[in-house]
Amino acid sequence: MKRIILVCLILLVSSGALWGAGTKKRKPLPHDFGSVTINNYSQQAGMPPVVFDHWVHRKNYTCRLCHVDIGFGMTANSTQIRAVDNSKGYFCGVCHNGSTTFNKSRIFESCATSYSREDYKRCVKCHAVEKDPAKEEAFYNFLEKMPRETFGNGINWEKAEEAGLLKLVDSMEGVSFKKSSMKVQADFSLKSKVDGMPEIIFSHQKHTVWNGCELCHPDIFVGIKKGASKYSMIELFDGKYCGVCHDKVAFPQTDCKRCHAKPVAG
Amino acid sequence: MLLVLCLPARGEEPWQVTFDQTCSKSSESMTLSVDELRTLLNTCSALEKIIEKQDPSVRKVYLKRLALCRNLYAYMLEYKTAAQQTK
Repeated sequence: MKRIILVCLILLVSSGALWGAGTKKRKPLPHDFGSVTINNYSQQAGMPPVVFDHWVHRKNYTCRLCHVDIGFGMTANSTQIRAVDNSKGYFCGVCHNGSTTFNKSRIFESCATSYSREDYKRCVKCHAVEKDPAKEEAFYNFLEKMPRETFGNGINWEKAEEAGLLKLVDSMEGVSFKKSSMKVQADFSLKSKVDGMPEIIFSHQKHTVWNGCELCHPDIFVGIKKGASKYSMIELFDGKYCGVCHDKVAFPQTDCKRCHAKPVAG
Repeated sequence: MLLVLCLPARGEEPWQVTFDQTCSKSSESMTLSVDELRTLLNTCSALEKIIEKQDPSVRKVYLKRLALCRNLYAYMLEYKTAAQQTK
């Protein structure tokens, strides 16, 4: 009888695994992690969709600069960027205007109402027709110099920033306003719902370096008092709360120990 | 002197100066009083009306930016008002 139950159990698990394999989301490769495809108007205009690589930008700029000061939404296709917006110097055009420089090199211009065959080479830098091996190579060259992580794109961005390997730009002339220094809230712990699972240590300091206040409050986290926002891992994996960034651009939530960091007492 | 400081920078419209002055307080929102937050929210409402009349690109960028700081101030005001009531 025990043998029958065991066989049934194995069959059940195997069939579940096989069924799951067909529907499971494919894990992105390190250089693809954080890539966002933007296709509001591109195809209507006869251009391939834009493939935006977060790693290229987050190595130089804070999330806050683009998502607060420049006004990019937090979900793909929510911003409804048009070529005309970029040409007027908004969104991508804040930097990609042909005159702004970074580390003394000129940032290529984005979008044009008319373009020559030569200009088209510039268009496909963002409106990617096919995978660019040079971009992939650039990623792995960059990765070599960074502290490593198992998941996501294999980079521990937090350590990289702390170690001074990244010098993040948080303001842009003509776009950002001068802000007063921020009073950073203290770190706090959140009890896990599962017994034996280490408590979550949430660091406001680590998050505000990249995000400021208004990127998370109140749109993502409504509660101010600790414990006011009730959420579960299911919601997080569904892209809510921490899942707005983690899994998409910031380290994936499958890297449990990065958040569940406080050892269980006793 | 104060008037000079409030004058728009190169190419900036007066409402943009007000926008900068209003939303630049977001990083200190935790320390603002209920009255200060209410004043900021009123300015945000006035700014919204002006931004809605702008060119579509400007409207898209600034309404999004305004919503971020206004929501933060409203959120802080709600928290502070509730805290005052429980005292």
